[in-house]
Amino acid sequence: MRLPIKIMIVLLLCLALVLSAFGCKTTPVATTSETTAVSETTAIETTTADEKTSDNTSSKDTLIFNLDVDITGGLDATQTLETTGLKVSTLISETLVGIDWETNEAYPILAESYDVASDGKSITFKIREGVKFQDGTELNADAVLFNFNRVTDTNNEYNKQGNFPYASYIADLKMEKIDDFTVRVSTDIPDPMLLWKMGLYSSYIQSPTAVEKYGKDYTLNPVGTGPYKFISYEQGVKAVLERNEDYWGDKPAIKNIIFKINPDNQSKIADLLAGNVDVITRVPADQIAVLEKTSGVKVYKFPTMVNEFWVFNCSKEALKDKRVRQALNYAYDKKKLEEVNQGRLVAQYYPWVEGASAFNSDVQRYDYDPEKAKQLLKEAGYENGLKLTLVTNPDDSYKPWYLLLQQNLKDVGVDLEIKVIDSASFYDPKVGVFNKDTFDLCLSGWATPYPDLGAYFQRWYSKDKSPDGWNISQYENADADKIMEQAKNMMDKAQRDKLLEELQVIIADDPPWIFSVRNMFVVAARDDVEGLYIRPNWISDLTRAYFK
Amino acid sequence: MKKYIIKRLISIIPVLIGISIVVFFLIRMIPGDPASLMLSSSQSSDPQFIAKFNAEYGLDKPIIVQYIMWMKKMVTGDMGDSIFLRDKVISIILKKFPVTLTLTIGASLVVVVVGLLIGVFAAVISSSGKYKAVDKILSAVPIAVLTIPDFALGLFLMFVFSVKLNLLPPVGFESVSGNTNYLDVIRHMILPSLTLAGASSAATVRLVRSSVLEVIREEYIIAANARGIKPIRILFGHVLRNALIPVVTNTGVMFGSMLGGAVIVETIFALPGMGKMMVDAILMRDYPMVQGGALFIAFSYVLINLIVDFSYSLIDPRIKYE
Repeated sequence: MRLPIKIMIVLLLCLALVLSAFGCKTTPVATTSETTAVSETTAIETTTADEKTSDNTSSKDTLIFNLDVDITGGLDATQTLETTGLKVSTLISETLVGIDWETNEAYPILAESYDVASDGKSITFKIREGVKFQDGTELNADAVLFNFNRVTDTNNEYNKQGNFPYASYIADLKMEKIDDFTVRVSTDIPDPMLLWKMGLYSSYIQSPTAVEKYGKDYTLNPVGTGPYKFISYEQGVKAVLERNEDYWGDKPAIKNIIFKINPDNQSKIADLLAGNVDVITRVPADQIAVLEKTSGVKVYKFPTMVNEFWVFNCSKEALKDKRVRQALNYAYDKKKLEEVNQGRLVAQYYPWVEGASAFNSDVQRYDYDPEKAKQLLKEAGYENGLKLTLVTNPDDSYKPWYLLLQQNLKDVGVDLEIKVIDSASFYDPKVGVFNKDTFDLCLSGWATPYPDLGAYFQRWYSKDKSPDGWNISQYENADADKIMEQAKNMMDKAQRDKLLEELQVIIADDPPWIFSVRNMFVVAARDDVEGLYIRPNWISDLTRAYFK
Repeated sequence: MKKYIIKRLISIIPVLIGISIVVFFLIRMIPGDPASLMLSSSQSSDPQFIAKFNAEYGLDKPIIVQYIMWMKKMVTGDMGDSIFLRDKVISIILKKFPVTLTLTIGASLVVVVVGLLIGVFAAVISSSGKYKAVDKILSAVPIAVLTIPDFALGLFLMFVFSVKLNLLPPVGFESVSGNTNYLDVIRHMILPSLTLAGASSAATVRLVRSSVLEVIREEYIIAANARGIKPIRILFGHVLRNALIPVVTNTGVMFGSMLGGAVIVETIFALPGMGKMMVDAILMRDYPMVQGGALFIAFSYVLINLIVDFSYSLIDPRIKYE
């Protein structure tokens, strides 16, 4: 039979009309023709102006900052779990002292001044008077003590209402109230890192009134003394902060910050180009050069103290021999990794970070040298090859790293089998890397919480071996142990720095891992945003940002 | 009919119990635990934290006891709290589900409208015996569309309509700043809906085409034609109605599975939906979230299938439910 073709064509045309009507509904016709007609440069600028109007934002007082991961653990900085969420929560609340990552010195924030006892066993903090939490509660010694007990005392009723993953940094300390605006933190043994510890996430001070009011929901309703106050948070969508107009210090330039959550690498770039976000972070390596050439967009590369490396399992027979570990260090062409990553990372040749206090560059350095690697393997008795297993996590950005390692090691006769497991399994006490029977090499990294080599001790100290400690390398070096034991409680800075420099010589000569890369934190922003700063610990400081 | 509905609803209960058992034990059998993962972000070893954490979530108890405790809570309507998102599981689901539902409805609308119109058009062209070239194109294009992966189609649409033409926003469920309204949501959902509908529309086009062609050859259609009934009435009154049954079944199944979350589309377009929520929860071993989410998805899937079954009787009056 014959069916009505003409009618069908009419219906299809109607469909096309309806679909096209939807697309154009809210967009001015002029913009469409403009963007298609002019160059890409103008297209981006036009887009920005247009989108801002259609979005009804209050033009230039709102910064939209893309977050790559949803916020976990909430926005109470003592409970926030990831550096992503900490970018938000550290704007809401503050600590007594802060860490100046440019000078590697501590500086007072909520403490007006502090006095470190000469025996290194205590610090007395004079709390800034007249500071109020965003809910009007006064900041005083009681509030500081309340916070300390909440995080460190597991019997405290407010401790039971939260999870405090950073608590162990300050759990052994004691705090006492001296007067209404003075507290003293003390420890039984001298601790040169005591001051740093008071600037860590575990020491961010929350409003006691709000903690009591919200109970276990406090972390979704945080109140601090910070330059920004919490307005709202929608899971997987956004967190909104507003400038704290009653802030005790210098008020930031930008009134509102919206943290938009979008983990997808491709679409966050599209979002930036369309002008819907002002800043995106962790730009994928293959997009850096493209964005650098895009007008309307600026790319920033902030150096960090986040090192990543391939950990040796030193309890394995072959890897007990330091010559094998040295050989594998020579075999890895980390410079190549730096080249292909277009500035997202730099090759790391040292145990500690250049520019940090007590850094020593005069140590054994492993530049790419496959011949030397072969020779060392031969000396160690592995000239006929060696078979090793590498455990890594499934993040795609690591793929070029381990494929290069596999190729490099193959070139010197080492057969590397790669096992990819997800993050939760990676840290599982049974099947993960905390069980020394599961791997020969594994991926690991360390974002040092404070710019002091002491933060690395737990990775190298023989008594901190996993599963109970973080020495997953099962590393054991008597000389290194001795230095760490001395430096741990040494208060004389000059003498301690000397010991730390010596420690770096030992670690470089008897490597616990394949020194690999140091990350750069790559940010792309609309070109009207100025004053962006990412601290070397991966946390942004948006209080300095402003619009041109 | 009422009896049938009640019977079907009761039959959901054992399904849900079965799913609860499988999900509960499976998520605990895979390696990894939330406390260790949580401590990995501070790179500190803190046995006290792990003990406190496990006691708080009852993870220190035997697994059977944990299951019974969970079921007891579930019966009273308490799905528990998400470990990582710190909110109530049910309130998280109630925030995410509307996003997924909107996406699913949007995509289904596209599938049904595009699938039916182009499918019928293709059948009409084919049955006419003329326009051989058009017929070939209409058979080949859906196959080509079927082979395009979601992420490629999504990124392509995003690049063209958001970055180049600036017609539609590239990501999100609604604008993060300023006033949001229904129109804003619709604008945000067009590209994700089109992406999600892509392959299914193509499949539906093919299904409708073959289904219509089959019905056209039936004797009653030939008879109707011979009686001089207008072709347009034959098409919509007789052919389409009979050709619809397989299409509805297909759409129902597709709708149900989309409700579980279209992870790829949700990820590309940064939509805070069920699919992404479940993947994140599984990766972080957020046990209460995984369990609650799985049960909710299973329940909505069964419910949708029930509705699809009933819709048969609307299309074909011969189908009755007793």
